[in-house]
Amino acid sequence: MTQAAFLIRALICALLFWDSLFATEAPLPSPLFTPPKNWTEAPLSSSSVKISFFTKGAKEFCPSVNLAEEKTSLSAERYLSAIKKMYMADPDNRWRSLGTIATKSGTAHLTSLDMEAPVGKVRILQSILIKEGVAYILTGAVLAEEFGLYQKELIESFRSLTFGE
Amino acid sequence: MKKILFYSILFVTLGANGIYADDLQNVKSDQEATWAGTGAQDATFSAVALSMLGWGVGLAGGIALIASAIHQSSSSHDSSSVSH
Repeated sequence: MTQAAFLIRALICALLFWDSLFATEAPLPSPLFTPPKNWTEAPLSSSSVKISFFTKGAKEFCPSVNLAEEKTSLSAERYLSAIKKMYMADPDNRWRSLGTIATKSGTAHLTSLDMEAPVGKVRILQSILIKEGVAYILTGAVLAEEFGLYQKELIESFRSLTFGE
Repeated sequence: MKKILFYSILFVTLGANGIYADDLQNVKSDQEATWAGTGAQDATFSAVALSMLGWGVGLAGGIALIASAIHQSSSSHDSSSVSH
């Protein structure tokens, strides 16, 4: 093999694998949101949940809100369909799509889930925004009977979702 | 001959990438749809767990109170037995 032929082949191979060799993931934008006024930050996080806040409820159940992230290449519709299937696997759950909600960072999908807990029926309100391959999920949990007291605060909090550098 | 073989493989590989890219994407998308939603589920469980901490603390307090009352009751019973 001549040197020129070797170089040409090496160049072709480099071009073929250029993406995988030099692909670098762009840093994800930092999601920010404003929790309802006077809610306390909880020292609780997980691989998905980045930050949580809670407040004292009228009963033993403390209303809470958190922000979670999940990498996904699915469209919002397919992601919603996947979570609907997941939640509806439990016949005691009642999941509903409530349409869209305008946030500071674009249109998110609003969903509601009613589930049974030892303290009674709990209502989970979720706002899901898919941006650049990541699902940003804001989740509020309140007792179903107290939902009216916190609905406005939670929606306002969901609307405040924005992204920093 | 080697050159023909090399370029044949190269073009077949490149062509296959283009031809099957959509199918591969669909398979990947279907696989991901199966596992999608773990973030939403994690968020739900975390929110409920956090919200129920107050209830858990209350329950633990109640159990401690009952346990303390039972303990005191049995202690006084024991002491009254001794006095006889």
